Amino acid sequence: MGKYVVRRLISMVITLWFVITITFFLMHSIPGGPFSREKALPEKVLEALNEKYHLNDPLWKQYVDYLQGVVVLDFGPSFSRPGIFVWDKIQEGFPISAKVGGIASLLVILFGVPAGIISALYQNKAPDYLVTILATLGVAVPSFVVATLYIYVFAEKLGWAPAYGLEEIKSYVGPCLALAGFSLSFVARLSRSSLLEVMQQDYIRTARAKGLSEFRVIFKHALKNSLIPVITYMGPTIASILTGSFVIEKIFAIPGMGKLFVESVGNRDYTMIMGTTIFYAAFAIFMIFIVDIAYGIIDPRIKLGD
Amino acid sequence: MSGKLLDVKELYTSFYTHLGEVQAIRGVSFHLDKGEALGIVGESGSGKSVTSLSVMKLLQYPGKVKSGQIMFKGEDLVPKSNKEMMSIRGDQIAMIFQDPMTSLNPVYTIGNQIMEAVIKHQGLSKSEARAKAIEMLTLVGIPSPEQRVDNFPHEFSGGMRQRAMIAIALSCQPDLLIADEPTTALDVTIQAQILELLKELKDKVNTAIILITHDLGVVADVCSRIVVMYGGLIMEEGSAEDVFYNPTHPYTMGLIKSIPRLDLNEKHRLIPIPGTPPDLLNPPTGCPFATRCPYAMQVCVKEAPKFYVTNEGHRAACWLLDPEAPKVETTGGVKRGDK
Repeated sequence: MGKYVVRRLISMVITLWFVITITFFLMHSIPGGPFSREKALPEKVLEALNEKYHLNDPLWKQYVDYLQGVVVLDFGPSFSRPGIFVWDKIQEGFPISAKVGGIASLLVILFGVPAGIISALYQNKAPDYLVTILATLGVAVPSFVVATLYIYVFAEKLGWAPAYGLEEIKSYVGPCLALAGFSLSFVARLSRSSLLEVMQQDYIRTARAKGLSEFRVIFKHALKNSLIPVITYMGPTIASILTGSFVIEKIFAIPGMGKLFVESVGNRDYTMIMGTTIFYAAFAIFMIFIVDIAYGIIDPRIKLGD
Repeated sequence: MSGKLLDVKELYTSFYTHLGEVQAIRGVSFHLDKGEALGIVGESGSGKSVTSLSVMKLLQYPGKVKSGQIMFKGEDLVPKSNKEMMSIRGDQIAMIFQDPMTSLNPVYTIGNQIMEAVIKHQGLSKSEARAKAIEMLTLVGIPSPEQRVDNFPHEFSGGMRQRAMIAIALSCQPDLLIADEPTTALDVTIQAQILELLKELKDKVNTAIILITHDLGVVADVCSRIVVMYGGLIMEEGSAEDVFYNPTHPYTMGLIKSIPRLDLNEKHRLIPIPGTPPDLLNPPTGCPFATRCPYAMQVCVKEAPKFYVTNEGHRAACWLLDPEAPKVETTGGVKRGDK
């Protein structure tokens, strides 16, 4: 196990290095730069800016310098916002996104999986239809529609919750629901179909033939087996939920990571793009690692190590 | 009840599919004495597995026992609730299945899966149950059971998994063990070992066995009595001796002719039975085997034959046995002599 973790950590670093390299060169290969404006800056100013941010250096040198910075968590200054450092900005935005995302992730786990189980146990009965309809809606309706509807009904018409910001506890309801909606619905559908499939397995018949109660058959023999596809989906999903959604942060005016990322792309803010991408990639890689560890715990056929 | 452990009377089981009612079992009666081994033989779709699942009341939706009685130790199982069945299943009637590769839960240890049953039915503590699991693994011939008890199913070979299944099934000393094609998924040498084990344990644990198979060769060795099923009906029933050496139903004869023989010196052809089993969505009114039977007469298609008893405990449902039937020269049965 220890050996496995070390090996995985090394491969995670290599993966991350690939992500950095590809992002870096792709970003620089796009025409234009952080200081391209509709109204061109005076030659001298541009020259000075390029000089200041080392954009005149050969690309490989910029790349090596950047890598050296990343190792010590120095992601450089923002190009479009003078005086602001990328790492500070991430440290500012991530906790906000993670707070909303954490609640949303909990919603996904606490409601998605049980909804799927109920749906499977009452297959083709009222609760199943209800869950299926809601889940289909949840998957089909985009989050910005949910968010907008929520603001219209609960903030505007009923006045139960604020329309923006995160000042009160109530403020979290809208963003969390909008953020969780899709994944929650998807997890419900996934757990339903996975559990139904497992219930058809021969070992479930064996468990019944042993005279076990239906409760034990489902919660001991079926559930653990049915969780594997759910966990597979969960890892990357939680990573993406925790790092924030641009659309939802924009609608609810939340100063999180998602907003930071999309705005940096629009501004061609090289260092900010790199910083947020690396942060997101590292997070996703880490979550996948957690998923793999979880596999090993749930399914003894999956051997970690050697 | 007179020593009868299981007495199935006029059992009808159907599957209510969206296409209509599939009449998988259409009036099956047989019985089993304490400690006896009965073989139920038939090809795919003959209703042999459905019979066993009906007895266990483990039919999957949309299957249902339509009518009939399943008397087990003098009590009818048909009206019993699922809850009542739970204390019978695994404790008094146990079952092993065709494919040992998929019949054990991959995420729990073998020991855990044996212990579960004894904890439930015999109220043993965890440590007692573990000792019992090791004892059972020893009984079914798993080497170094103290270590093996903590293995997961994927660490067992196919034959060992079936041994583990038998260990689970016999852990509560059931009165009846239903083995549904226990050797079909195993290779031939392992098949022989598992059959040998079943035969040996039958006497050791003193349990009755219903051995369900499509392979007449498998039952020959283990069972004293054989029921031959076809199209949801019993075609012939009798002692192993009678069924093998004096089959009276053309279907049984056909089955016997299609078994490869290695013990005969002369060359002989394997003769398959042409055609396919009847569609049980619209079961034939006459004998289900009539369309494939080389001796079929007009009456066979029109009307289902009743049972004719040819000698004590040997009966067959075939019009050829009617006193009014024309005498035909049937050839069947196992050739004696060389064995």
